[in-house]
Amino acid sequence: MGIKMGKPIVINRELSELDEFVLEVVKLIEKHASYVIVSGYVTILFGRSRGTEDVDFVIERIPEQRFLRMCDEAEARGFEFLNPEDCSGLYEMPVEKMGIRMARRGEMIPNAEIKFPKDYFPREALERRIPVELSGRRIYISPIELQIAYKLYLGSDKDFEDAFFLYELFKDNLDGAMLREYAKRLDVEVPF
Amino acid sequence: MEERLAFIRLYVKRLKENPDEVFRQQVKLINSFLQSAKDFPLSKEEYLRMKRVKKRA
Repeated sequence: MGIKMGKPIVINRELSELDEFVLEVVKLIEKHASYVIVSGYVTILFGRSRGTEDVDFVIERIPEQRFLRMCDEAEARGFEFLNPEDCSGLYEMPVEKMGIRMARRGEMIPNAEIKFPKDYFPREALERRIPVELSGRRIYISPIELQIAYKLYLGSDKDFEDAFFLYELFKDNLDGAMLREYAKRLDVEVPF
Repeated sequence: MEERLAFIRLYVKRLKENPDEVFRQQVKLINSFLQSAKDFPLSKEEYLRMKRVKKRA
């Protein structure tokens, strides 16, 4: 049990309701688009003790027809979108750099916020995503170095603590040059 | 903040030394958090509005 560093990083542990939801969403999205999970769930995945009710997914920008197939399949699998638009209207939202939110039908929490990459950092997360095996299931998350730098950039107490948690957990396995490069691009200092 | 960071340092140490116990407690906390959030009466519109406001803050 626990976390085994490597490629993939292997995590063997009991799954939370949030993990189960993430695995269901991944099963849907991975059929239609390349994806990466970013932000708060990445820290929770590795054991950070804090709550969240939404999970951030960045997916490659796919053509409308592929998006519509994903949207239809989501509904067939028992998901629904919290946004009031139909599938076609929903497609316009990530195109216009907004997230769409998907939950199990009849529920709002937990939910997945799904976006297309809007600038360098989400694109980088997607292109350099890293594999994690969570109790036997493969998921992809943002590089840890990028997560740490980005959390420092966001700057709230919660984000700073998330960055510190990841740093403490991964400090023997981090690529220091990569972390410094992201920090420089985001104009933040790594104070640890 | 120093106290929070000291707590996180200790927590990560425990996570490395005794992952089963720490993850077990974490899963309980996550599930309990989700249950509380679900019990809070909000419509979809209110929830989306709340998230938009939070992002702007």
